[in-house]
Amino acid sequence: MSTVPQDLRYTREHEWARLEDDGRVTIGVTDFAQEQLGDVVFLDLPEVDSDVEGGEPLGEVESTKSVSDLYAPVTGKVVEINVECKENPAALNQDPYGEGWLMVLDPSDPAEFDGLLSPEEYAQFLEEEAGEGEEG
Amino acid sequence: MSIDIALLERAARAEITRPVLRFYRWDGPSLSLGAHQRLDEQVAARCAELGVQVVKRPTGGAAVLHGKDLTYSVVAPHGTMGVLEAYREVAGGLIAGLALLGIEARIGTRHEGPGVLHAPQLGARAACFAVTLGADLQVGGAKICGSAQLRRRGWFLQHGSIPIGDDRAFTNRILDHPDPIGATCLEHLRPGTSEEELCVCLRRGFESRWGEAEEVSVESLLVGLSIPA
Repeated sequence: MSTVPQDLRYTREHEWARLEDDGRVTIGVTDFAQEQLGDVVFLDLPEVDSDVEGGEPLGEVESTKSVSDLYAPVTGKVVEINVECKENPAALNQDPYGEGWLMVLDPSDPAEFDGLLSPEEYAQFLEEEAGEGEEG
Repeated sequence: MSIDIALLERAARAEITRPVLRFYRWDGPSLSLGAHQRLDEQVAARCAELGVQVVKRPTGGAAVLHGKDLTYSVVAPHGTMGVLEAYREVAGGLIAGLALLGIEARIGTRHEGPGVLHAPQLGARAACFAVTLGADLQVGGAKICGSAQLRRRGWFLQHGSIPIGDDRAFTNRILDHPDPIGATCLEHLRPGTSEEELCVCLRRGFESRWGEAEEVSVESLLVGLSIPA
């Protein structure tokens, strides 16, 4: 069963977001996403100072047999990249909510964070998807 | 391959709602690199010298030499299927199709040859058919089909190469691999198999798993789009 920490917000594209004390937003991919991807071998992340748009692709994650888009949970500017994780992408699989964080964004609209899925909503979303998969 | 991406993007926007299976060939020898694979300068020089076009795939994985192969592509919803599960779903169709040719393929066991993929450089000279991962197809321990996947908004594009003629020596020459690549081809397994025969059997193999297919033109799926060459 994938873990869904209670202190984060989520997207339907399986990213997580954490609102920091300074108003910035740290993002990564969820435990469910890293399970689906398999062993991550490469991270294609945006440059610091890049502008990103909420809901739009901002990078890619390559696992041993797949490339998947990364989506921006909120609109803003990239202020920090997790260079250690970029150089050791296995951290994303091993600790997706800790050492596997990917980047920090300076959001242009703080209210956008409140529109992300709550832990309960994301957990329900995962259940609904699993249910559709069984029916299909 | 730009058509593959266009189909995936249409599906991601819900403008295509059913899985799409496509077969195509290449105009002359072409080297496709994985999405994040670097083009080695010496490889580039050899390709230029030998008239080999170099393209970048939108999907992952390592280098594949095209020209004597059949390329298939599938665009389908992945739902809650993980990457390997989606590969196995497509493998079912491929295995069923190859079985109609009397070829017994199976999902490969992991084997790492020269040029193993590793982050972050992603093995600049890594050759797809030198490595078997747990989603590729083998016949008698030799790789017969290498595939790669891109996932986008609930859909995935998977395309792959099935060698018809033996291009291993040419691949080795371009990528400067010292050892023979552990792959096979249809010409060795079933001499005289035509590309058309392979397409027909693969289609039937997919239909046995996914239901009857409706044949449509690619143009009809991409109306209104300008596809880059």
